[in-house]
Amino acid sequence: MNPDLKKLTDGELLTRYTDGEEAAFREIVNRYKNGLYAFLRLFLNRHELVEDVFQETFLQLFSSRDSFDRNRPLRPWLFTIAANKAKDALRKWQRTNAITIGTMIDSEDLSFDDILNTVTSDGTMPYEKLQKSETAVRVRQIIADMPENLREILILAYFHGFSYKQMAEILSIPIGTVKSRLHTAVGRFAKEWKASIGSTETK
Amino acid sequence: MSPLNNEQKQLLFDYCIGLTSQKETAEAEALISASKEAAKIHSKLKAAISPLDNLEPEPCPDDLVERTILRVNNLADSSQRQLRQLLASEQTRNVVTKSQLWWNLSKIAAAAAVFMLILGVLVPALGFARQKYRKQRCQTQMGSIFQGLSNYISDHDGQSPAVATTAGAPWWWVGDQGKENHSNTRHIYLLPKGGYVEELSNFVCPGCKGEKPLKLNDSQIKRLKDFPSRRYVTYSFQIRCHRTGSGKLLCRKVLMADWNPVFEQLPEDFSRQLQLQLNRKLLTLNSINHNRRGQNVLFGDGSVEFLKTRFISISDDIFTLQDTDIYQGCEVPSCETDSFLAP
Repeated sequence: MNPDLKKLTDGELLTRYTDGEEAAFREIVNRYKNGLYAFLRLFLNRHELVEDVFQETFLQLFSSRDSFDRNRPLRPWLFTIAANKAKDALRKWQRTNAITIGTMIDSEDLSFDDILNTVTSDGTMPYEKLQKSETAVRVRQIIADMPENLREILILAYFHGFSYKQMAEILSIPIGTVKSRLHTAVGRFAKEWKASIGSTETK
Repeated sequence: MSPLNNEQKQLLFDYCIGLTSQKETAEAEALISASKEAAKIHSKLKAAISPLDNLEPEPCPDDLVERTILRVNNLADSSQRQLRQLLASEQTRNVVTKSQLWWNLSKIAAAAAVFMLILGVLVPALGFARQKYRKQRCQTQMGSIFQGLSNYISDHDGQSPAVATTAGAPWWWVGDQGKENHSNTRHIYLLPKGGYVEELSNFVCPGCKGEKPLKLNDSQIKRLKDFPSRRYVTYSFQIRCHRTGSGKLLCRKVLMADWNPVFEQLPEDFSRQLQLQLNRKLLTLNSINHNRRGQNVLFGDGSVEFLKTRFISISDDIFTLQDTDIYQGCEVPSCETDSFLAP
C-alpha cells in the first residue's frame, strides 16, 4: 500500500479515488472501519445486520463521491449514513421477525437532577465481584435492551466521543434534545445496571 | 460553599462522559477539587458510567473489509460498463434520416398545435379575468364617489352638491368653463374641487378605452369650474326633475352609472345645436365602459350593481327619458320616478 496515502486528508483521498486510484478508497475504509463496526455492533447487536449496514454505508460513500463536499469532515457524515441505514435495517428486520429489539422511547426526558438522583440514590454498585467478561455481556445486553433513540446517543457520545453539535447533526435533532436524551440514556443505563446487579446479589 | 448550579452540574456530567474541551476539562477538575459536592457527584456519576468501560471495542473483521471493497469495485465496474454502453449506443445511433426529419417536423407541428390550443384557452380566460377586475375597480371608484357625496351632504346641512342653473341649460356642455353653469357634471365637480373625492381619476372608469387623461394637481382642480373635458369623466350622472323636494339620498334613486351610450357622440363645438333622435340601436345599447356587456349603477343607498340591461324597473330606462325620442341636451325628467343619467 502506498504509505503516502496515510498522510492525505479524507477529501484528498476521495479526490484521488475519483481520479481512478482504487487504493485511496481502501485507505478511507481502513480509517473508519473499526469505529463504524464498533458502533454498528453495539447499536444493532445482530451480526448479519451489522455486516449489511457496514457495506451499505461505504457503498453510499461510493455513490456520493462526486457530490460529497470535500471540505466537510467525513467521519460525522459516515456515522450519519450508518445510523440512518442501521435504523432502516432494524425496522425492516422487526417487520419480518415481529420482534421488538428496543423501541423508540416516547416517555418524558429526565432532567439532570433526576439522573443524579438515580445514580446517587444508594451506595456503591458492587460489580467488582463480577468477572470482566460477565460484566461486558451484561452491559451489552442492557444497551441492546435500551430504546433505539437512547441507545444511539449513548454509543455516539460515550464510545465515539462526538460533540453535542456533531450528534445533533448526525441525528438531525436540536442540541437541547441531544443533551436531555443523553441524560435520560445515562439514567436509564444506571437504573438497569443497578437492577441487574441487584438480581445477581439476590440469587 | 453554595450548592452547584445547573451549569456546573452539566459540566460535571460532560466531564464524566468525556464531552468536555480542554478548557472545560480544566474547569471541571478545578471544580471537583474545590467543592466537596462536586467531588461527590463526580464520583457517583463515574461509578454509574464505569461499567460501560468493560466493553472492549470489537475490531472490524478483515474479511468484511475485503467483501466491502469487492462490492464497491463491482458497483464501480458496473457503473463504468453502463457508461461505456451508453457512450457506444450514442455513437452508433443513426443520424436523422429524411423520414425521421418528417417525423421530427410532425412532432414540432403537434407541439405547436398544443401550444396554440393552450393559448386559445388561456387568452379568453385572462381577458375575462381582466374584465372582471375592471368591473370591480369601477365599483370601488363609484363607492368612493358615494363616500365623498355623503361627506359633502353631511357638511352642507343635508344638501347635495349643486350649482345654480337656469331652466333649459344645456347639460351636455361637459368641459365648458364659462361663467354660467350649464353642464350637469358641474354639480358633481364640487366633490373633487372641495376635496371630497381626492383622486380625479376616480371619475374615469377603468374599463373605458381611449387616451388616459393627464393628472391635475390640487390648484389646477380648484381653479376649474368643471371637469376639463369628457376624457376626465366617463360616467353619467343623475339629472333631477325640477320638482325635487330635497337633495336627500333616497335608497333606490339612481345617482350615477357608466357612460350613457345615447350621448357618446356629442358635438365638440358647444355653439352647435344638439339634435339627437333615438333609434332602435341607441335604445338597446349598454355602456361602452364595459364592452357593452352592462353597466355599473350607483344607487342612493351607496350600493353599486352591475346591470346587464339599462332598466331598473319594467319601464324605467336609466339612459332615456320617458316619452322622449328627440334630445336637444336640456331635457329633464318630469317626475322623480323617471331616472335619467346624462350626458
